[in-house]
Amino acid sequence: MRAENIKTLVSKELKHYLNTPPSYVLASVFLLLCGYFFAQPLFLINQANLNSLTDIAPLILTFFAPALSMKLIAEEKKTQTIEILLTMPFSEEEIIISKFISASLIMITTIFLMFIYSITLYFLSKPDTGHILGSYLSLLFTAVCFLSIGVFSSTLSSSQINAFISGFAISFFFYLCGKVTFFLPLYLQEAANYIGIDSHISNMARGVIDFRDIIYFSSISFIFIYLSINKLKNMRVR
Amino acid sequence: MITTENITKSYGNFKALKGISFKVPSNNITVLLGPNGAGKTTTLRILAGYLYPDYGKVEYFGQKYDENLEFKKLIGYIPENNPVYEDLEVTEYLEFVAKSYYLGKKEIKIAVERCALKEVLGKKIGNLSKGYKQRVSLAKAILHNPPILLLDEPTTGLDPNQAYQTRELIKELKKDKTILISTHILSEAEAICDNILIINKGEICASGEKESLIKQYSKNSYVLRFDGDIENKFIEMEGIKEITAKKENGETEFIIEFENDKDMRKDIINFAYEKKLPLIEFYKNKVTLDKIFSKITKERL
Repeated sequence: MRAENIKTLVSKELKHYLNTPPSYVLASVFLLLCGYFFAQPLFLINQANLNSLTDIAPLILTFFAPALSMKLIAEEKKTQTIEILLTMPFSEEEIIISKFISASLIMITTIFLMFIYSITLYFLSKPDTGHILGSYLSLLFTAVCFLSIGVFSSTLSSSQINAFISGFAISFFFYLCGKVTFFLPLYLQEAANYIGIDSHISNMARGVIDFRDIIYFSSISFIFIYLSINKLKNMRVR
Repeated sequence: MITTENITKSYGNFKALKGISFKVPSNNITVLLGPNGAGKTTTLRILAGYLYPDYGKVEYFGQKYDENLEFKKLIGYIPENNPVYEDLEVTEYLEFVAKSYYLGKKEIKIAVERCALKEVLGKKIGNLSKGYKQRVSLAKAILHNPPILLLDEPTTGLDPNQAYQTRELIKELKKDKTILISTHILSEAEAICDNILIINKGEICASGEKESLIKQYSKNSYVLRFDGDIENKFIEMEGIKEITAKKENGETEFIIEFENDKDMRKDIINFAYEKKLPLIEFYKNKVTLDKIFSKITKERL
């Protein structure tokens, strides 16, 4: 795997994102929704924190991340440009990783723009900086994790809609797992709690950066990136 | 030089290629001819490294093709239906291709000049005409100056002028390249190729130089057209294998085939003169590529 190749591919992918209006629309809708959930407690119950946002943002990300990543491979398959890409001197690993990186860069930029929201908090009160940074970090980890799922879903089909639906379904499974532990038998509760994204987010949102949470998010991303690479390789064997 | 040996490829239960072997010589244009579904695109996809064969091997200049990325630098490839990144500008696309091969602006400039793309450089590829899109793909394929060019139906969908320009450009490129073109347009194949590979139902049915293939399938046959209703007197001539007669619009046409390979033009003219037949048209019946193609592919049905 060559860093130079990844740089070339990431730059191409970013041009695709920046040359097409849907990326801007998607980012704007995400920022508007998050802005609403940020502002709601601030004005209604006079609470200057990000709790409401960190509660709802993972759910928004189950839509936003697959929507951002659905075209990555599906579109290349549909327009047959995947044939161009795979016959150029790039490996499957380079292709998948650079697509993942480019989508992550767009996502990180969008989340970075949300910092404007928290800056307003400093004008109104004295918020806990650790909590704010932790909240953003948890959002970043969740987003990147869901993006890896989105990239994998995109390799499953040549239809962007199918890629979005499967990406949303898998992401929602991870989102839901932590929410339904109370309804599960006792012996499954711990496993569901670990698989679900909830417990890992809540730790970070409190400002506690636990190494186990970082391993959790990295593992999910790694597994889905690995599966995507394999899927792309299998496509050539058929 | 491209050499393939016993390449087999199946899609589920369907055998797309049934152990094909052939050679594509250097500094030549070889045309892979075949009806739809014959296995042309699968063959090119395997040669380009997009698909892996189930069995068999591919060699480029005597070296076995493997998954090494360096091999891909030997090949310039235009896939079927000419896919392009429609939302990129021509410059952005060519810069991406150049960077992929660690090349600079000099190579982009050469490719742009060769494919006459200067006036559309700043435009989005999606807004270009089919002809320009084809040229963009050709520029992409030749940008890294590969010794091998694989072009899958490069003129499909182009108007006659655009197709002619593309063919001329391809002819110009053959000086220092091994070119394999897949097509089912026989006139194009005839106009452009030095060698022919005919593929049908996943098997190579005929291969060789265009001239020798035409010679192989040629018959010593002549077409004569006479004014009025003429009785067939040619059965009196020696060495006749077959005579076909057709009467139309007050004229009679004979197609006469001889058993030997001797040039019979003088004998036929003398015979017609002796018999005082009103000859108005006479020529040697030449075998065209479409006749060979039709014969070979029908034989295999």
